[in-house]
Amino acid sequence: MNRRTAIGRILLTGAIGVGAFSGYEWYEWHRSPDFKELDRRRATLAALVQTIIPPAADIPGAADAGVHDFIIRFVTDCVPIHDANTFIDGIKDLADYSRSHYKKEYEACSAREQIAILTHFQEKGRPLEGILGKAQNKYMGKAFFYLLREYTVRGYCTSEQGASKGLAYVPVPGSYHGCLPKAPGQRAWATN
Amino acid sequence: MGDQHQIPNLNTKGAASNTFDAIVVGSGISGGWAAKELCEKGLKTLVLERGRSVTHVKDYTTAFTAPWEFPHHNEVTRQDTERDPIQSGAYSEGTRQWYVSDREHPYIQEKPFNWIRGYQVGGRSLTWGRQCYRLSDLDFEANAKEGVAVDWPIRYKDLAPWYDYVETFAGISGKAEGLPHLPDGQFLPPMDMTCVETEFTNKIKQLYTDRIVTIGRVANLTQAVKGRGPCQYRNLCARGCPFSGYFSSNAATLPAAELTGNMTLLPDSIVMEVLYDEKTHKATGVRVMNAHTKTVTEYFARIIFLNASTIATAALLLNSTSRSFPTGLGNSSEQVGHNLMDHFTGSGAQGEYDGFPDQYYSGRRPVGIYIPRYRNINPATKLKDFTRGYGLQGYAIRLDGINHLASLDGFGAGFRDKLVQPGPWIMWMGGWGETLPYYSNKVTLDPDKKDKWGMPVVKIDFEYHENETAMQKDVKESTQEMLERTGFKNINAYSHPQPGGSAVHEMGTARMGLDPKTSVLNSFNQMHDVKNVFITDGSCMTSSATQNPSLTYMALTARACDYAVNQLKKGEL
Repeated sequence: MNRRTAIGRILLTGAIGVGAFSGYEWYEWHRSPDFKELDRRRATLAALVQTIIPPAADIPGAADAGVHDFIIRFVTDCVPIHDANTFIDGIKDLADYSRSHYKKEYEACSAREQIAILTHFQEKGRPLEGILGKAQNKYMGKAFFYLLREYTVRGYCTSEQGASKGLAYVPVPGSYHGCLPKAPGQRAWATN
Repeated sequence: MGDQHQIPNLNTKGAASNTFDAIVVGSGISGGWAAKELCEKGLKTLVLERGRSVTHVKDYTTAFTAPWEFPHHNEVTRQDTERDPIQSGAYSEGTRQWYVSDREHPYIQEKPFNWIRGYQVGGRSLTWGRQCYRLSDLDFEANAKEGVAVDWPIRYKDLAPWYDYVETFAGISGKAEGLPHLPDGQFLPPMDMTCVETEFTNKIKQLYTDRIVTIGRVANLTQAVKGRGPCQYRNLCARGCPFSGYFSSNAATLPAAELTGNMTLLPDSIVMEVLYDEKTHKATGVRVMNAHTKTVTEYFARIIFLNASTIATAALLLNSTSRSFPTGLGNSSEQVGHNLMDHFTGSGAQGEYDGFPDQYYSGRRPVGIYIPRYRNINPATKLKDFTRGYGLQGYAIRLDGINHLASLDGFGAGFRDKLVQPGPWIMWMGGWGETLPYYSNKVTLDPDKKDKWGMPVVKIDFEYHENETAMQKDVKESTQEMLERTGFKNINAYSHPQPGGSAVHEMGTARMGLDPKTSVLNSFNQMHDVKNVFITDGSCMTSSATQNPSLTYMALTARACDYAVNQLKKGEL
């Protein structure tokens, strides 16, 4: 992360020109992602999305909603190459971290251990406050944890379980009421 | 005619079977209206559409697809953005079928310009934004008063009855506000505002005397119209509506034309050129290539309506050369292809609102709120930085789903419990601004490059100028000010100018005007130079105004059809 921070400072102070975008950095943004790693890490991904959105009595967890499989498809086919690399590198980092600190895979860790691991990655990747953070996200891309959380929420809200049991999905509303008291137990609408 | 092209595979069927009373080129918003009006007035009408056939309802294959039933939950893929760098900015997995392939339909951007196209029966009437606002004399008189470009050859009173006519058939929901510069129409009941929109509307009324907030006027049917609708509030319009809940050619005008028995609709028919007879000074018909077989056929008619969409209509005229018109049909003014306009977008503001924590809404409203133009509408609102003005579109909603994430932190049970609840209220507003007609903003044909049908590739050279830039700055400042004064917090005002074409309101390339020396069309959308050719798509526009333009194309089309048929009956054409 030191390199990331250092480059971030330079970019944010506007002292770097296009010419200074070195061959190494170009490679970092464009190298072919190791998409197969996503399939190899499917169990880890399932555990990760379930940590972000765990199940409750009447709310399915993200893994129960199949969000990890959506993420594999989404990262493989949709997200920018740079984000795909950040994401895949991040899973590898996280797996290494889990093994070195807890001597087991993330998916084998206790819920408490999983929260500790994910908190570590959340803090490590936390963008700067305010406008600097926005610029950082724009020029550096988001860090692994923030991509993971974004993909999880996206997949959850558009999955069958997440949309219709976690949130409220009405395929054909039939009418529109612009200003209503929230019904007891009202969930957020899944689609706009 | 008068040219000596070598045409392969010329279909030599007898001219009689290829002869109609009228030909309409294009089946989108304005072509659909031309088809309906001409057929209903008894003319045997050939409607030529370059794209594939689309049968209403049956071909809306994604209309009932749930988000999770799309392979990528309705997101575009990297393959989409690589193959269709322009169109993929407009489509999703659920609407991709209504957009052209950028590879198959290349064009040259002298400067960045998004040319968003839908080649199919119904054209972009399937995917349009559906907002409908009348122009007024503030718009029709502006060029003449300011000495900009040329004067419109019509005034509001000429078009008002035709606005009534098309609104009544199409079905436009909205609220009458009594504004002279945004005239009321024949409205179906308006849609509701959300609680925060109503609060905002009331506060704006207290704080400002020069502006109002109204619900968007939209071609979604709040009541059934002629067996269509009503709207089911799914907000999936752009996939095609199985309930006929909004106006499209497919749902409304083409079925009406079909009902007369007078329409022949030919999809997959690329109009290559309009044929011209130097002796009669009239167009005789069109030369058409089948998109699949590449067979070329000529069709003949007494009147021809060009409704191919602004840029394609200009290209068709430029490609229709003859000894009389060496630079393109009806182009003695040298205005064809010039004065291309769009509405600029990309500036606005968003803020959060505390309040109404226990209020929500149900259903998905397919339109937002609208703030009609409030700059330079009278001496009191005159600004020195720019002329004309902009309208604001916006909405106030509670953040939910993926949008809610921006206001959440952390993960786990607490995060989840917030995520499944409606999030904070936010309001967003953005400007749609008038762009002046500049001769230098133009469509031309590349002399060398051809597409796969051998047609010259279109070149688009378009940029915004100081007036638009100054207005854009004002949009940002003004939207920020309104949100501040009405009690919003965490306001984010922005200005990210978008390339031309991004509003998909391109217009102006065959403008109307009083003088044949400086305009292409007269006050009835009739070509000054070729009296039996009428152009009623966006290319006819003399200025862009700020209003979403499709309703005006509809009204101009119905009016031009009425005139053309009267002229035919009088033997003038």
